Amino acid sequence: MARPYVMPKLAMAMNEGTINEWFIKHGDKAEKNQPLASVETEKVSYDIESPDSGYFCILLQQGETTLCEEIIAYFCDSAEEVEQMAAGASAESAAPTVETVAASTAAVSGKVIDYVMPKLAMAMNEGTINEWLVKEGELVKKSAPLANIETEKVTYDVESPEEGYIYFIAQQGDTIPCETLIAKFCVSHSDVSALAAAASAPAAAQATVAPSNSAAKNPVTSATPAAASTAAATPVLAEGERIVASPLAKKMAKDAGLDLRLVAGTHPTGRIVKRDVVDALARGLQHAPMIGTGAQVGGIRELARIPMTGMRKVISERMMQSLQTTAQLSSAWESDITDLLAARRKFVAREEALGTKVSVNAFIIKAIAYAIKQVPIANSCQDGNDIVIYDNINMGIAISVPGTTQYDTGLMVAVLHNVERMGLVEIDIEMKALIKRVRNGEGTADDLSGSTITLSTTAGIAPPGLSTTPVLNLPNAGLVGPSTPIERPMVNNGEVVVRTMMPVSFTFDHRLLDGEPGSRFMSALHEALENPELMLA
Amino acid sequence: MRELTYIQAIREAIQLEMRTDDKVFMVGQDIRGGVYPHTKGLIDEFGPDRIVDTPIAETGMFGTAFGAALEGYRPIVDYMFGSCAFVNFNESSVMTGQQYFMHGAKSSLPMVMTCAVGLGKRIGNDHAMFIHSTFCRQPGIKVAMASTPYDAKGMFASAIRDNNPVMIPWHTGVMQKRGHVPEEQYYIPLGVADVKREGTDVTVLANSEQLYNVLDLAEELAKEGINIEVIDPRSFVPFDLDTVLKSIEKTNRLIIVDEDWESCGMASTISARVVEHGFDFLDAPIRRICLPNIPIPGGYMEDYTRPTKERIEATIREILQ
Amino acid sequence: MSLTTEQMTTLFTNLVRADHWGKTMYRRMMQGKLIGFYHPADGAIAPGVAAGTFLNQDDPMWPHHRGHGITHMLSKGIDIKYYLAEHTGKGTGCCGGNSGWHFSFPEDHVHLQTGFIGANFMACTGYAWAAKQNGRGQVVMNCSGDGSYGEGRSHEGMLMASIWKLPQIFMCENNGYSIFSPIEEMHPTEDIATVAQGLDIPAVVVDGQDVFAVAEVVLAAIDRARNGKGPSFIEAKCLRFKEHDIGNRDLRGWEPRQQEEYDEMYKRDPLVLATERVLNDGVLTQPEIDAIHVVAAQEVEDAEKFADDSPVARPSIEEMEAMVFAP
Repeated sequence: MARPYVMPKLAMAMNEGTINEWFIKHGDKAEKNQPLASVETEKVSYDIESPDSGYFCILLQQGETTLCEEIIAYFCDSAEEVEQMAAGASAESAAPTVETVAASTAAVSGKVIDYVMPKLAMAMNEGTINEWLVKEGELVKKSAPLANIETEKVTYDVESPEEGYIYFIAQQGDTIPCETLIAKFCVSHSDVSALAAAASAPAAAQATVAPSNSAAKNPVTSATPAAASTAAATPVLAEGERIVASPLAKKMAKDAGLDLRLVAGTHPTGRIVKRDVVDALARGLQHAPMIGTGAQVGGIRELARIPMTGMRKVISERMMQSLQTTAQLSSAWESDITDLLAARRKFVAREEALGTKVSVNAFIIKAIAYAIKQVPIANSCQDGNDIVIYDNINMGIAISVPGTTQYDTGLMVAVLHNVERMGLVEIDIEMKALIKRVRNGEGTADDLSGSTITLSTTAGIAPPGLSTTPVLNLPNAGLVGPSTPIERPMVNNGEVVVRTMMPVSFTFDHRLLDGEPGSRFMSALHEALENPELMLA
Repeated sequence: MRELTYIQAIREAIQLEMRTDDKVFMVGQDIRGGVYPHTKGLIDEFGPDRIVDTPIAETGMFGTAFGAALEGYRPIVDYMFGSCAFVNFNESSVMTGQQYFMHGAKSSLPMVMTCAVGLGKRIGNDHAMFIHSTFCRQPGIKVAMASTPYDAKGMFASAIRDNNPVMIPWHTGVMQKRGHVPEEQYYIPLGVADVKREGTDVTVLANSEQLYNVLDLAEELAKEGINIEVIDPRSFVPFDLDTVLKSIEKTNRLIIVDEDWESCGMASTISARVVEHGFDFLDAPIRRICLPNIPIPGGYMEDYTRPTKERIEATIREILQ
Repeated sequence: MSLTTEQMTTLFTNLVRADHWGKTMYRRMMQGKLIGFYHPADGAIAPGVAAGTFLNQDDPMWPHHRGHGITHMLSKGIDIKYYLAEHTGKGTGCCGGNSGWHFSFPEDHVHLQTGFIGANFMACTGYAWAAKQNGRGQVVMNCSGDGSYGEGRSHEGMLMASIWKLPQIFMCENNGYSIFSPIEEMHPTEDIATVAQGLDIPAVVVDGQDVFAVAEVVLAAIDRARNGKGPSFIEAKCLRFKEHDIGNRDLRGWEPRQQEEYDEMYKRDPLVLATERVLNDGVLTQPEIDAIHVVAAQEVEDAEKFADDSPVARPSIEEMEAMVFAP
């Protein structure tokens, strides 16, 4: 019985791989652990070893590229089976974990290649097709822009992995789990028509979800998704004005949850007609927040109405999840950063030479790294039933981003990887570049995932001396929350002196670490903040 | 393929029914000689007892049919002109429609009423007016109009075999249209509309001479990529609403061409029913193209008071905006 | 043509029955036990009896609306209980309860009833044409009042009957009134029969209070019609004892009819006259007459029980919609 071999996901961020070279010939007998192929990912090349034994049926040729999890070969029990699989592959190209729409291939003449919702990030579970960038039945070139897909975090324009006439299974607006069939590439336009004819109903999301590989078991790090939500829409109508729309347009809008006050009618009389609704839905206006509608219920006037979709929805869910599924608690203290600020001034004076104006946050990150070295368990996450204490420190940095209107905001956690290896200046430079990327929507998957501990500061925004109880960024065990420093009279060597005190909170998950290590961590952090020279360690 | 004119097709339907059922007879004024071709010469085959001329006495003429129908005959009353059916309207509409129901749904009244209607000859209101909408009002009478020779023969035959009163006028403007008509007797059921041309962009309902206008227009507009779906309702009572609804589910737009006055015509009833049952399919208001509410002028004005191809085309373009 | 004893007995019996029926219907209407309205035939029952008694079952008849055709129909052999049931809105009625007060007995060739005066001329033309075509000697009895001869369609009916020599008898029951309108004001000649004569239809005028006199001329007309000699016109001058319909005043023009008129009329009660006749001629004895009354009373009583015990017809709208067209 032939066993499929898929393109392995060799890196967290790997989407597709190219066969540089097969180390085995089609039909040869492969032995377990023997070198099988040189596979190139977006970043590196690997020599992969055979996971199995058997007569090897090669489907993906040297030089060809395919998505991870796609079948690229079979381990067969006999030479005959090799040829069977080779012949059968032209009529059916499903990944083993994905069911295709069975009837649709019957009337099709040529080979059909499945296209699944790509897993664009380690943490991605599902994606929404904001827009197909090609028309159904169109001949799509390889690498041409194929679709604008929104994940829980980012929005990508994905490129076509194939060349072929495209047949849609999922439609614009559909949200599909990763690895699930969303389109097929056909060899001819008539095959697209045949598939369309065979499908008795739009076959969006009929395929079952593939159980993902180990990549999905990695901890979901970021609590916050990326921007790409629909811009706020102001109503087209003046307050109290009647909506004029055809009955069909009204029904379509109602069924889709689209508020017709946002839609401009293109009929010469100004009436909203079907094509206007179709257009508005394609632009995602049914998700748009609205401002200034003047809507009134029971004497309460609405200033704005913001649908909790996209990033807001995920924030809402993740916050609840964090608070309800952990035993988190916050402790707060104040650290004397007078000396830290003095040290910082020396760096700031050398801004040009250093290439950056070193920030207080860079110091805080360095201090956290110091404290983690003393108390490694503070740098841990829960993974299944295990506490995983990490060796490298990937600092999650909570940043506020614009919301969909002038009233609301979004929240993202940028992740600076491997801060334990970085100097203060490097931290500052990398952090600023990271935040800039994320704010511009250019954050990569790594920029937004993989944190082991998170920094969430309200310094500069909150009132001085604010003591906070920040919410854990799952699956991190700990979160450090500094806030705005305040001048206080402190006792130093028996004398009262004015010192700059920074309030710091540490939220930790008591399921993973207890008050004793938590306190030790806080003490270590406190020590580093008050004695910045320790950060040289 | 054998062709007949529309009026010849009617004649053949009557002739074949009269041959197979000796209870079928025709009564009218001057039908033995045949003012119109559909009765010409039938006297030679069937004799004066079955092709019956009466004095100019609509009640007497109609009553011959009405009473005979209750006594087991299957009469066809020929009013010659549609408006004449209004002379004894109390009998042709009220008494005819109410007969079966009011008397306990026991004995039926199998009679056919026919007459010429239609504009185009500049003969004025009394000879040209359409009567179908008015006959649709009294429940108990079926009302139909055939547009093509093929439909005419099949529908007249069905009307004669129907056990109910059927008013089936014919438009003088289509009487010379030629078309394929099979030689044998065949029956087209009443109450069934016919999609005469499939399309996607707008549904246009049209009957009799207007159907030909609309079909011509469909050919021309198709060259521009405008594809209209043309439906001939064929019957007004019973009316095949399902075919129309199915069509506008696809096209989302409806135009009704009815060569009858705008006020209280069948176009209004169809329009109301479509709104009641197909509201959510409509992307534009339903448009009726009817005669203005003016007694039909006999002069040259008749030409532009009728629905014209230009008017229909303009309406199609408007509805597609 | 003189009548046999048997014919006279039958006529007398039908007259008694008509009298009982008429009084019952009047009483029921006053008691609110009838639907719609009722046009009493009191005093004018003789022509109807004469018209219906000698018809065969397949002779089509249009009964005069006065007395709601009961007189004519019972004489023709129709079971009136089904008409009473209809008149009381019952599903067992001859029209299934659909009509309110109309009758239809197709097996007896009494097809319909309408409120339109003159409709009889329309339908009977067709009945008569069909009768002629059928060629088995059927005759059509067309009964209506003096007022109906104002309708243009009366002319058309007589015209067609005359030119085609149709086997139709025009029974004009001239009681001198149509609602409040005296015939003297509504017709130019003393006798309506002159119109018929003008259309070349043999016409007679007869005493409509004398059932036997009317019967004689009816028999002659039937004979003529059955033998292909065409239509006849019989003008039976009769008397309307009561108001046009119950609930309307009994006016002449716009003033109430006077007591003198009533007194004169009542002297010529058809049943009284007929009773005298059958006794005098030795056709029936008093006990026999009494027995006829008893049977008649029972007939009416049984019919009332039938009607009153039947359930009211209340078909749903869908059920009624299904009754608009025949299958």
